Amino acid sequence: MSRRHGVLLAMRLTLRAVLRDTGVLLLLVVAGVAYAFFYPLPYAREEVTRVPVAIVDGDPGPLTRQLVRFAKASPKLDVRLVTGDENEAREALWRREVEGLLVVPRGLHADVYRGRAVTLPVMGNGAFLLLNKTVLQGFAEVVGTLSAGIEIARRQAGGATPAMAALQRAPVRVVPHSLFNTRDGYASYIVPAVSVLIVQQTVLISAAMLVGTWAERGRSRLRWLARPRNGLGLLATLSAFGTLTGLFWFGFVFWFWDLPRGGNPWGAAALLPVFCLASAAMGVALGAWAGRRERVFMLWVPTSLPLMFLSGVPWPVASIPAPLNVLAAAFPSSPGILAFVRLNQQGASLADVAPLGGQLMVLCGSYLVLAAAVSARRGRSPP
Amino acid sequence: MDRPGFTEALRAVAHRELRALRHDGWLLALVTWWPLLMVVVVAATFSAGLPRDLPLRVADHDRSATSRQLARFIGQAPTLRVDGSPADDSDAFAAVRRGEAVGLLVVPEGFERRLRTGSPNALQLFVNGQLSTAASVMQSDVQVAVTLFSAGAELQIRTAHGEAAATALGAVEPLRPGLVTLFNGAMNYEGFLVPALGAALVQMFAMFTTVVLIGRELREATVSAWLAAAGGRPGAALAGKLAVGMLPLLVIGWGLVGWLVLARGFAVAGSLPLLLAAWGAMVAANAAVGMLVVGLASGLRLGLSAAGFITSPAFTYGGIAFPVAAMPLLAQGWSAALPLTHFLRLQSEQWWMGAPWAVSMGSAAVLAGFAVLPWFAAPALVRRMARPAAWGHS
Repeated sequence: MSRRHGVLLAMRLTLRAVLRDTGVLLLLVVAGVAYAFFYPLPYAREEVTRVPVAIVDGDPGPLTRQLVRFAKASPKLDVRLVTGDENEAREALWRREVEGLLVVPRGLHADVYRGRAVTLPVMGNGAFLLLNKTVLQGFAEVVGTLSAGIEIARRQAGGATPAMAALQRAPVRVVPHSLFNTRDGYASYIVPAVSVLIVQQTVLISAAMLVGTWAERGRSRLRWLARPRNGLGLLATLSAFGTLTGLFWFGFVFWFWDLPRGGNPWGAAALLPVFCLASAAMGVALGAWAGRRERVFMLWVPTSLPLMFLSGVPWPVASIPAPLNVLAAAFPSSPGILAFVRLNQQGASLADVAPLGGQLMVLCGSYLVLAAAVSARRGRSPP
Repeated sequence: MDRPGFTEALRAVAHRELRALRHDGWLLALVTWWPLLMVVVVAATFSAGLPRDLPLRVADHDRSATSRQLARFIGQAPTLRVDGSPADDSDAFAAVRRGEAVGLLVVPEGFERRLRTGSPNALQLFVNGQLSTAASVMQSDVQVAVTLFSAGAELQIRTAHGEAAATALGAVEPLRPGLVTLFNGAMNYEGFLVPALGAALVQMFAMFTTVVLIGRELREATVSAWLAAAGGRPGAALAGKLAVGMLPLLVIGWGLVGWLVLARGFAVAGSLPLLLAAWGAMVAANAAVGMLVVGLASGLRLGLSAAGFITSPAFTYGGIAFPVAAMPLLAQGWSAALPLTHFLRLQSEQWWMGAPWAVSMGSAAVLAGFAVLPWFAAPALVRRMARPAAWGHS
């Protein structure tokens, strides 16, 4: 029997084991598909628009009427309440009927006609940062529009000095552009990163569950697994499933939810098997070490949250404490998430992500050795 | 038949549970220090509070004293680090693509001249939208720095023209928005995310622990011994077990609150007792739902899969990172069916917003409902689990 034949046989045996184990099959195949529709759903609208706000009008008059009109026209804001009573606005804020407010100070009209600068306090709700950002941006635009209008009217009425009249008002504007995620959408930012974690977790936990179940049933299966050709056959089958899940996300799911995609599909496809092999090998080591199926589940499912935040996408790597970055480097998802987002969404070349790809290769090799060692040890020791 | 009292039965079941945990080191670790470690990792991840030194490339096509001054001024913001001038714009874009820079600010030729003559001036800022947090911090801080810088420059020009400073200021910008963030003024991400992520982890472990502790009796076919310890009282059989399983999680949750309040200085603006009680209700709610899940699934494996499906995406649907009101209706429905959503709302109201306790009573009532109502099904669930047909499946 040739060596290759041995690997192929092990691949077939693994496939049969996966198909017979409902739990593993659910996780390895169904979960990746179900999550494709279930996970991005809350973010389907991408942006937060028409956030309910209040305007506290301490100085009713033509300017504030115009201000309310502008605010009502803003796509970011939904003016639910215009009141002279600041307490009423605060109550509404607590009841979450509004998420922010703008205060028109007493004496606004008089100050503007005297040519003084007036500050209008705008308050957002910092307990919800995305709403806060939308409220502050929306009101800043409204006040800016009104301010420019006043200034132009003044200039048309004739300036204070000839020098000033000659000087057109022109502050320096910053024109922001969002690269790669051109709509600056929430799903566009989070779903591509999470998709990589989903691929890792489905492959890793399936591998660990399968091997953990074998460990429960005695040493002979672990001894079988510890032989290189059998181990490689098992990992090849599981990685193939993972690669298919990954391609399904990078190809179909990103298209289905209309997320940024297709930057460097060939590069992503080339790196996927390496990433899945590293995840599967880590899973085999984990399953052989845990030696029980349900230990694996409770041990590993909750790691999704910390691993996401350690990846460097939602929170910059440079702001994460150094020891945690060392810890994070032990998981395929840490270099994987950054690498695949750069390939898929940012159109990076494989050369651009070479350092991350190198990390994945090193992890892959390390976990292959570890998986073989732990399986062999389990195969020898009494259960 | 002489039945023991409820308290007695409860104590007997709790003792049996503690014995089992002492004999199973793995299980003990999974219900105590493993959840603690997860919470500690998440809390430590965000300990910086705000991103610092985000790398910004400045492509200075003006190369004037003023443009260099502007770059220096922007670099003074603690959140930003100005990374030298790139050779050309495409170099800078490549740096963003490779992840070496978060953004690029292009200062056009003639920047200084236009500032002097008061003609329109626009700076293009490109940020990496795939790094949303870093991008939005960079965008707002560059905006603030440039506004300050240009207002200063314009004021200088106007006063040089002989205007009084006060009227000059009014002329520069008659109305200005004074942007204030209420309730988390510094927009600190540690305070914003850690309490919510900690709760998300605790609710996950609460349901998993419940399913494992009950499901183990089914798997090992020890249901009879378990019910015997409870003197045949279904309520005591379940409550004694869950009291032992939930206690460490409640300690972890309260410990997190204590850590953030005492060591990290995130004061609770509202009612601390209500917040702590809500943590208890949230843990109890997830235990009660977990009890239903494992009882209906009649098995450890299916029960765990279902618990994973309910609790692991709960943070996504929880309304903290992305507001519930902005979700499609279907997602809003699922969000409302999760105990975590109601807890997170209450926690934001009490911890940050300092809302009167009456405001949070709705969320508190829903949490209490989740925690209490499933217990009415306890006798039926226990009857279902007492069938030998449900035992011994791995």
